[in-house]
Amino acid sequence: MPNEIMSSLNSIDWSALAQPGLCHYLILALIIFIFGIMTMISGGNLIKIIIGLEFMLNAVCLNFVAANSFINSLNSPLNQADIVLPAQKLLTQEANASSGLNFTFLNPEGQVAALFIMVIGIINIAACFGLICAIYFKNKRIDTKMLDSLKSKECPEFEECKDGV
Amino acid sequence: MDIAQNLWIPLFLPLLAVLFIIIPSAYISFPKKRITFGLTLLSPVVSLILSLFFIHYLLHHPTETLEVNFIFLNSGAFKVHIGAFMDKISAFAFFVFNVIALCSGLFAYKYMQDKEDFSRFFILLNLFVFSMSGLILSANLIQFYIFWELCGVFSYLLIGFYYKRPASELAAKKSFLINKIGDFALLAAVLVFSYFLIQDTDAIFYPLLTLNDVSTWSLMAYVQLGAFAYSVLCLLVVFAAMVKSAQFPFQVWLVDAMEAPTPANALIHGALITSAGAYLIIRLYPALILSPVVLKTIAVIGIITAISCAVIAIAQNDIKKILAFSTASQLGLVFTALGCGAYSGAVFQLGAHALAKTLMFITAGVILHKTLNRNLKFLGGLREYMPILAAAWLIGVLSLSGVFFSGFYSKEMILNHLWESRQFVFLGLSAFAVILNVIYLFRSYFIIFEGHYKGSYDFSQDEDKKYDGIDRFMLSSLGVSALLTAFLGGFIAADFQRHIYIIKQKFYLVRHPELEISIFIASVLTIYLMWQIYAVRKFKIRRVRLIYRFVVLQFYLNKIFELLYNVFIGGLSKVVRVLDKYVIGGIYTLIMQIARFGGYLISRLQNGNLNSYIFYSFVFVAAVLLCAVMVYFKGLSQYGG
Repeated sequence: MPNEIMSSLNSIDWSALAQPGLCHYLILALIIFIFGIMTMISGGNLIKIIIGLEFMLNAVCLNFVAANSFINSLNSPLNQADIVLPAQKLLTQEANASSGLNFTFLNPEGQVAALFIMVIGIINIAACFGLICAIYFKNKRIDTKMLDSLKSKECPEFEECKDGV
Repeated sequence: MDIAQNLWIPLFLPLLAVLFIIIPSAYISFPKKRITFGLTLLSPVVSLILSLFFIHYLLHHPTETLEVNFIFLNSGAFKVHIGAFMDKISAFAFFVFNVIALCSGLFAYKYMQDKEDFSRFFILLNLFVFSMSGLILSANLIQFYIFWELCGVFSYLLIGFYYKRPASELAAKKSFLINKIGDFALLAAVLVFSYFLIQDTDAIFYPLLTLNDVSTWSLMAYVQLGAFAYSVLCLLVVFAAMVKSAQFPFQVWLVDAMEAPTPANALIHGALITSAGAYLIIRLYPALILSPVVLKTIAVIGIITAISCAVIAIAQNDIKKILAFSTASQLGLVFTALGCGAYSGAVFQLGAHALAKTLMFITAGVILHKTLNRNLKFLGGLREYMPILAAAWLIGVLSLSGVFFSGFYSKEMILNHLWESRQFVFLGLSAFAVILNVIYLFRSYFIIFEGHYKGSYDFSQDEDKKYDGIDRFMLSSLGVSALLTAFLGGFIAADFQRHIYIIKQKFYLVRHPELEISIFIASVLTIYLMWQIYAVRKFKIRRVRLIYRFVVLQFYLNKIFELLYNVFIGGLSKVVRVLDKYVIGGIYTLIMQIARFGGYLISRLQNGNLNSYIFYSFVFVAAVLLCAVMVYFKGLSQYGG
């Protein structure tokens, strides 16, 4: 398996990183995702965990949108077929003539996904906020250290539990 | 109709008695139970009548033997047959055995009737009768061994009959363990013999190690083994017989077997199990003849036992122990006779001794039943109160000591043979043993039946009862055994040697009146001496304390056996306990510790820390993704990107 990883690493064209492209957006999204994970893991506060979750969701959205705009653009290999180009040329001419924008929209799948993800994230926040309110009204605190009632029996050392299993 | 087919009846009748009479009677209430158990006494009667028919038949067809067989275990070349084999020796032994079974059954019927374990006793008694019948009528050595072991088991159960008494269970355990040593020796010998037989036969329908024709397979073994190894093999057989018949170092089990109820003693330890050892040697005599060392060993063991047990018996104060040592001593005489070649004398002595010993045990049982006291110190002067018992005991004692009745004929046969074959050392020692027997037997008679009664039983209540207040059943058993003890010799002894002999025994029909008369006079003088010492109290014997102690403790044999038991069996049990606890138990402990450690590790995941739970969920997802990625890359490399 390490051989396969090394061979795939060697077959990547790393010179594409010199100019700005898709990779940069993906790396940025990864960094933001890692921020989100770190926030969520080290959460001393229930709200902080939700914020981390939001970070992660935002990074995923960014991933989708960036991928969409680079893959579904006019210059990508996906759209270089013979049938698509003349049809798109006609459509873009008409769109450019009717609207005042200088921008071409093609398949919006990524943006649609991003929209869905944002909505789901918001609903998630709403549900989690309900839980946080319940916990707050019960314990008057919202730190994570107090939620330990499912802890297993105190058995710190292995040798103490030797006789009675 | 083939007369041999009738041999199945006496063999299996006691077993049927157990199954069909005793087991259904568990549903019947107690008073009626005795009747059903009484029906089981029909089985010795039937066997007795059948044995008389067989004897009649065999006497009229002297060269024939009867045999029936069926295959019990069948595995390739090793076939074990179970069957019945009747030749003149086994006919005689079977007849004597049935008389004894009948007498002790009658005696037990009344002796045990008040005790609660009545049914258990009768079941065990009948099963013992069955196993002993199988032994006497056995057709081959392997069946002999099977029934030998069975006898040992039932003897153990009967000795430990009053199992709630610690003395009984210790005695039973001791008898079983000591007999086990002999069983092991016999098993080894049987296996070696069958090994040498299997190699050379072609698996035809021929019972393995048949007792019909001992010389065939023993010669095969002798030829292949050579003289020395064959002697060792025969010594194993002799060892087994020695242990079973309570010969010199091993008489300790017989002495402690007196914890059994007296009818069991009458049946088993007086007469039967101890005879089984001698019967083994009698049956395998053609095999043992091939090595003269073995015969000499038998004779030496026999004479040592005869003298030492007689010496110990002189110092005993318990009726049943005197009878136990007497059994060992008389069987020592049988062994001596066998070792010196007096084959027919040995067989007759076996039968005469069995009958006389049964008589004496039953008498002792009646005394016990009445006075509830075994110790000679508390008995005495019983001749005025119970003259019937005195007569019975006197008949038994006269027969055993060889002065009169059947014992006289048997001792005469043995001593005549010893004189004729010019083995004067053994002759002298045997005569000495006979005189010792006279001493302790008549000592017991004079102490119990003469003098004044020192016990606490009130005899006046029995004065106007018929037969001195002895029960009818007990009386009948006494009568039968006394009759046969007294007159068996007279009727049979003349023709006995013509029918039961072995070719090597050259001197069997010669008689020496001078020997007989001198022994008779010596015995009578000894009786007179005992009368003077114990009844008339003319002299008083002073005890030399050291010798007395040594003799009474059976030359410290009990302590030696206890020491060996503690060292070997105790040591072995300690080793096995350590193995079991730490080696085999250690495997289980290891498995348990592994499971516990795994549980401990996993339980540490549940620490109630929310952050760690989130982390574990990420780790899990990452692991799944990693696996998916690895599979993807593997697929890429396999099937080409």
